[in-house]
Amino acid sequence: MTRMLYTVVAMNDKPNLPGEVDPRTKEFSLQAQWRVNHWAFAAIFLSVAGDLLVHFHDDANHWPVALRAIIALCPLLPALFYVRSLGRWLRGMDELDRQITLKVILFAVSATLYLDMALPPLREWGVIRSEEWLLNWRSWWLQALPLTGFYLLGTMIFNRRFK
Amino acid sequence: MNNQPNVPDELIMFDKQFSWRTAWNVCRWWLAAFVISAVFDLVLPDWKIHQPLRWRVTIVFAEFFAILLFVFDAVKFIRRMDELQRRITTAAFFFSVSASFFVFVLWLRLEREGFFNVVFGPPFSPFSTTTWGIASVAHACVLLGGFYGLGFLIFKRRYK
Repeated sequence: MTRMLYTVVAMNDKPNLPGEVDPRTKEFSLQAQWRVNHWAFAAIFLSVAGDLLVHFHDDANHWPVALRAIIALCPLLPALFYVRSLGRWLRGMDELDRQITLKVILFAVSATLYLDMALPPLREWGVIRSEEWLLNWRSWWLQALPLTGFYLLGTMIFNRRFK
Repeated sequence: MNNQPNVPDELIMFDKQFSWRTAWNVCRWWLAAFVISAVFDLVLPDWKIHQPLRWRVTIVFAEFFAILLFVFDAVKFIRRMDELQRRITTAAFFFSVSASFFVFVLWLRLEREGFFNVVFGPPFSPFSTTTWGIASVAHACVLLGGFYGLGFLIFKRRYK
């Protein structure tokens, strides 16, 4: 009975650290990066692959729209899985780190959404050209760049505030 | 001095505690951004295109400046809440921004493939839009407001 009550299970009690996924910090670990972001990498890979597939087929414009919609929606499932793995990573943090990281992610997503809303007028004024096939601002994978940039910027801002 | 903490339910229209005054204080700039964008991007886009560049730039800057002012008001409103309400509201904001972003990108990607033109035909909006795209500030405001309400209901139930 006593043995049943005090069963020792090998358990990792260390909380997750936000610096694990930030290459600028000492805590950065490729293993943690992969554990948290592997679904994001999959979504980016599928998005780029879909863009390449459509671009390098001359008759892609004649493909059924359902097929092109499926290719466009391919990154959706890994993106949803990414949200789940991100949530799991956040839940494994201590209270302060979780608050900071949540604020950083909120900042990154809001700023990217803000940027996305600013793109149509910029396109209208000729500042950006949406005809660029791979660098089309409506691509999934291109969203990863401002998201990552604003995440790194947000980390700097909020870490300084909580110090 | 008013020491009472802010209550997020005052912003939810179908809640008993809804207050027009609080809603106006927090959301006036959100409403301003929505109205400017709705008028110039949805109702009068053809008129806007024929205006000189400086006018178009002014209109766009007005929309985006109004959003920035709304963010400051919202942050001020959240800071004056008690700990629990602040958590619920922050989670609802997080849900709202993430879901809007997701829908935004998904919609734009499908529009790029001509999905909406094939399924629904050419745009039949009375507002002379030439696209099914939802890339205006007015659309984003509606998405953000709708998802905020939904997120608030979800997280309020979770914390009960």
